Amino acid sequence: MASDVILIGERSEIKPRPRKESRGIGLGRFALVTITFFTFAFLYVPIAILIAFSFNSARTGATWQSFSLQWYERVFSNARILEAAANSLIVATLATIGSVIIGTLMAMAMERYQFRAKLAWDALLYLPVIVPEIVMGISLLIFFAAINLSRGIVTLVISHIAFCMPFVYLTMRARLADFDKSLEEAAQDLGADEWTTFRRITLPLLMPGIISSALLAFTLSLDDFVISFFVTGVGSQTLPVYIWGQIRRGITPEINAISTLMLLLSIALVIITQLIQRRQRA
Amino acid sequence: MRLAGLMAPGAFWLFVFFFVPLLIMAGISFLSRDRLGFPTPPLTLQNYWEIVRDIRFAPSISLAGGLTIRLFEGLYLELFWRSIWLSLLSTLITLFIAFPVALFMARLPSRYRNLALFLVMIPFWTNFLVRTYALQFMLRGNGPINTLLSALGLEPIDLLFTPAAIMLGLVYGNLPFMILPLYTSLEKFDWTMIEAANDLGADMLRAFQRVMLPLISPGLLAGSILTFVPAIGSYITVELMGGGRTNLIGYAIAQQFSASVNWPFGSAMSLLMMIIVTFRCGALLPQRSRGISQRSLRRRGRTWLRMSS
Amino acid sequence: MNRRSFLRLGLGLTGSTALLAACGGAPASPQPQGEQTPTTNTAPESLAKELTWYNWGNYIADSVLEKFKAEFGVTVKVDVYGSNEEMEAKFKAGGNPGYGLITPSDYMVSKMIAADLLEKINFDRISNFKHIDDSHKRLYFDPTNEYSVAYNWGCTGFAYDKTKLPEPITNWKQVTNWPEALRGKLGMLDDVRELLAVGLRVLGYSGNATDPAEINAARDLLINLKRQANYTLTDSPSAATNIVAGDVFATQIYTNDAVNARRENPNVVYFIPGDVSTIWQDNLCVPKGAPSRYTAEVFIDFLCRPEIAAENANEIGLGTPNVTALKQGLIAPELAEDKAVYPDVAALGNALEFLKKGDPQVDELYQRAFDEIKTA
Repeated sequence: MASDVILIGERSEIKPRPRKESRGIGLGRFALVTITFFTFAFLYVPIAILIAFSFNSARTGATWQSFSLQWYERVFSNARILEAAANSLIVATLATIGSVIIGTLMAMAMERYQFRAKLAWDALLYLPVIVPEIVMGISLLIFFAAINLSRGIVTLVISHIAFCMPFVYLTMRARLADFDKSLEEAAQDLGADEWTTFRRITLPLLMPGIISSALLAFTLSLDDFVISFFVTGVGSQTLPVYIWGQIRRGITPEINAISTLMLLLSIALVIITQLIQRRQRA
Repeated sequence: MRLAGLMAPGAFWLFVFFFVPLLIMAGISFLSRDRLGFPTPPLTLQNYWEIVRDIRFAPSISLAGGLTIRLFEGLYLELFWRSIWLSLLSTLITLFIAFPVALFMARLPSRYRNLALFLVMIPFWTNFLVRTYALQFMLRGNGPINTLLSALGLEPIDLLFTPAAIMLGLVYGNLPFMILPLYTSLEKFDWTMIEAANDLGADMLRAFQRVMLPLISPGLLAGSILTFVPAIGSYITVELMGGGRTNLIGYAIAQQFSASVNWPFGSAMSLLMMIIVTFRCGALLPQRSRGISQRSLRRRGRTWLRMSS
Repeated sequence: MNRRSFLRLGLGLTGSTALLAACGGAPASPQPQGEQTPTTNTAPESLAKELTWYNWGNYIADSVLEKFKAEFGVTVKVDVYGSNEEMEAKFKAGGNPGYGLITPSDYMVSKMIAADLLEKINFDRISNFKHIDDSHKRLYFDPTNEYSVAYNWGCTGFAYDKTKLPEPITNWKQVTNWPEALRGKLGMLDDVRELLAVGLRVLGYSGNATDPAEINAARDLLINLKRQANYTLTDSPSAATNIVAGDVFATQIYTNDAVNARRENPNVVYFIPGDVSTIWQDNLCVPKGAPSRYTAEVFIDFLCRPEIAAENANEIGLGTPNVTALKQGLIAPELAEDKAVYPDVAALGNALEFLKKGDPQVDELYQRAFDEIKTA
């Protein structure tokens, strides 16, 4: 089982030996490409199915009948579903921003400083990931009721930040573990103050990690159902909550249609942010 | 103090919106249930007793569906055990698929890397339920896989509503959680270390084992935990892909909060589940706080890896 | 002559606060504790601008909501839930978040009455109540009929693909002898009580049995059936999808989903087995803490108009309790003549049982038996 890994120091035993030609590399590369290709295919086939069914005239997702745009028409005349979709996007965006900021700060603190409670915090910070969502959802509901905070977008964003932040933290810590501080030190030797160092050296170097954790947070928030269900209020239902509510009485390919639309919107959002970033760099 | 400034928002958020609610839940697990299934005093250990009361020592060996050797018997014991095994297995499979992909992505020219990241995440911007229904359809008797098989003249396979389908669903859903952290670690990996190891006479396998593995272990760890834990809790995927034929602990807990309202009991199960999972992941923690880095490795020049299960 | 009750616990939010809460604004007291807050209830004839309805998914025709808005100027906003327990959990743990109307099933109504979560309805304002058939009034969950108005009802029956089974099925007892050759092709409902009701009734007990011995006997029967037939346990709409796709050949299923399945696969036969079946009824209720009880009552009255009830029922495909609508021929013939949608209740007699949940001791027994079946 590869799930446990323990690192201990030991004496190295590598003796000098004649260098062998690694014939394996070519084969390895081919295997890599193939596996990656099939994995992406595996990831996308259900998506293709999902999109295809949004154009299916049949009601259940069992058979294909004929091409039809009726579900898209129904989506656009269904105020509830549109509102739910909008709620989802708003909450996801806000939660991503919040959790990336907080999570990155936290990761920096934990990685770069030594303090007494550090070991305890290290352990504690794994807990959020371990708690089952339903537990978190219900306890948050009770909590919000106890402090008299009315349920709605605010409680949604708060809760989403709460469960996204640990994921950001873990990803950023993995990234920070090998951060080369000498670059920062060099900048400071050259006279840059802390903020400039952070902005010009640290941040760009952390960018790949920030992007992947932002993506993670956005995805988690957009798709969250269990926690959202419990902390949502009147009129602030997110899309997953809405869709789940439809299940018991029968779903229609409307949900395929709105899902496709959301997908396109999310992609557009990300492309826009990328373009903005590129412009900033240039 | 800058440390406090950095820690404060995260610590606050965690404490207020996570630990406090968790304490509430722990408290509930020691309460009794009222007529409607909601928590009410008096305090009691009944909930925990209910989980363990039927555990008895009853060794048995069965060959149905693979070799099963059982030492203890008990309804919830069975549930916990099955869930942990299934999740571990799915984590392993996910790792084997994710690693080559993350490797491939990390070695792409840097201008394509972000694109690759997006391509990995995009499928997960569709709604989870709709996506799972699509996964279901993929495996159906009249779905694309079987249609393809028939076209090739092969026998259609009955995949849906089997444990294999569950595994498929779990791996599918957790792939990005394994790929992303692995990619993050691999992306900053210094490949010259491998060359150095080769120059010292190690072949690829040894170089991998002794040089690469320790250095990417933070990502490996993060990915494994981020995959294993959701796998244990994910009951919707399990239900939809498995057709309700396999019962797992996540579903049993959800039932206590929905169909059959018994919050104290559900809380007790959740707490127990969290403790077990924490212990499982707990062995990994000492390594984390040591923070091995490439530079310290060069300085020390020695590494050692032991895999244990 | 008004039965406006000024109960201490929870007359709660004023209309404006509720609207603010709906916009995610000012924090509102979720569980009013014995305040006599002035509410719009005291202003006799004023309708609120908005009525928020916590309802099942796909459970109201949009055209009906539009008509209501056109006539009364009130926008009805619908939030959806998927199960009674979800709704109950939200209300109990955090109080009424601001909904003015809810649609609990029969057993949930009695639970909520017991927990003091429902307002009494002023039936003086619901003159159209007379159109509801008497068989849907004064039922076990609301014997004095002060808290609920019947909305929809349906049954749990059995559907099968007649081209896939060697011989037609006529009762559940037959199903329990599922042939080996068809292993893996049977579907059951993933519902604690519905599943166990099958075992109980086939053995001759009531679906509401409370004797652990009976429940355990039913459990054992179902475990054996699982070993024999390896049935799936899914929700009803999934059962419909499964039978249309051919992944199961027969399944336990709710009426409305069976009707949908039939529309897509004409080979599907649906019937209400004479030895085991449950009946359920969804009701309109006004929760405590509703911003405007008056608006809710006006809306309920509107829904009870025969032509409106018919329009709704035709769209949703479930049975309406509005007997006038039936008599006036307003229900679409496809549904009105379908014995599955409008079964002959009198003829089925004892077969149709309401599943009464709510006694914690008993519920625990059932839940445990269900867990054991599922884990087997």
